[in-house]
Amino acid sequence: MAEPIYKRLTPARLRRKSVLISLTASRQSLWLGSDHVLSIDSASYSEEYKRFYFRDIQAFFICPTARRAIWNGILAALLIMHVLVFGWFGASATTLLIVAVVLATPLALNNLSGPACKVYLRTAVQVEELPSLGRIRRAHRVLDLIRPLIAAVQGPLSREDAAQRLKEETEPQPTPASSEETQ
Amino acid sequence: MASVAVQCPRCQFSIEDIRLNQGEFTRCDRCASAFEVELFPAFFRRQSRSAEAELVLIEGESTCFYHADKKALLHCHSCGRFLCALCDCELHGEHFCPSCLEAGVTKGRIKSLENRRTKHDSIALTLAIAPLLIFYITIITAPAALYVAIRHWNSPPSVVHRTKIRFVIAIVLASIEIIGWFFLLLFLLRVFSGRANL
Repeated sequence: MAEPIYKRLTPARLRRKSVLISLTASRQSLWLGSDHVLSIDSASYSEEYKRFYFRDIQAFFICPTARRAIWNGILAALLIMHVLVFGWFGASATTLLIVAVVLATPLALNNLSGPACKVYLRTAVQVEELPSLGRIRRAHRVLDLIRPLIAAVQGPLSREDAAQRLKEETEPQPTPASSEETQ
Repeated sequence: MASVAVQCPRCQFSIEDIRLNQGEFTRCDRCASAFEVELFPAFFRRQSRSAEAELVLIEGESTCFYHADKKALLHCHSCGRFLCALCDCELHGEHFCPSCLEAGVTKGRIKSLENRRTKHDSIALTLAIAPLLIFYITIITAPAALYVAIRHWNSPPSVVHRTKIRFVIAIVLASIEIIGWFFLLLFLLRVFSGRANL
């Protein structure tokens, strides 16, 4: 059987499995197959795959996080600290500029990428985090890309239909006893 | 009938007043975390009940290979064994018995079930490049890199990166290292034999 062709949805994003141990870091990326989304957890010498078929995807949850603000704080503090230290020791303007550019670049990139988030994918049997979708803008872009593909398999669902069906599902069902009472 | 409800992804609390498929955020009533929801029709799909195998009622009727008292409904597409509804594992329109399905997973025969692959090309490349910093280790790692590259040349690569460029670079580098060692040993042999003759 020929292997499916995949199209990259997100670049690989470094993710540490433990807070302290960076040696166990793995890279997560998302790929688009013909009938599924493939999540790849790539370690040094192996790859683990998770396939989410379009027919099984029930929902996406996008949860904003404070990651961008935290990185902004860390990078701005580093930038100010280095500029002050270099300035204190009488570094030349060129050195100060180089240090500022080196530290300001990740700060700018962090802000240009937009607000951070965590994305969860729900199927009938699992709720899986998609770590490669770390920014809201990228999550929306990927969702815009796969929404029509899911709709082609499952059928369309407008926001009104979704709200109506959810309302019907969550409303308590009348029991035979209660329906007799009303009569 | 079990009702379905959208749950907060953080605290699993069922949210009643929710903004669906609008690109707007809803706030959880319990943990106050904000989240955006995109629902698809599968969310409202009922889970089908598990299969129940039919018992054999007529003597001489075909039975399941794994359950002698259960009626055979179809055969495994891989091994041809008769299967009852309990043992039928359907995958992309094909029917497999549990053992063939397990073999397909462990031996990587069914590509869509494969969930792990080793990157032999990266191993070979690391063996060829990394020890260059401490060159004398290459006397061991260069043949090892060559062995890994040749041994796993036809092993399935990553499902997304399919080129053999890493293998090629590893083979070229390992070959250069081995040739280098060969000439170095030849040179040392000549030097020592020359000294012995003196």
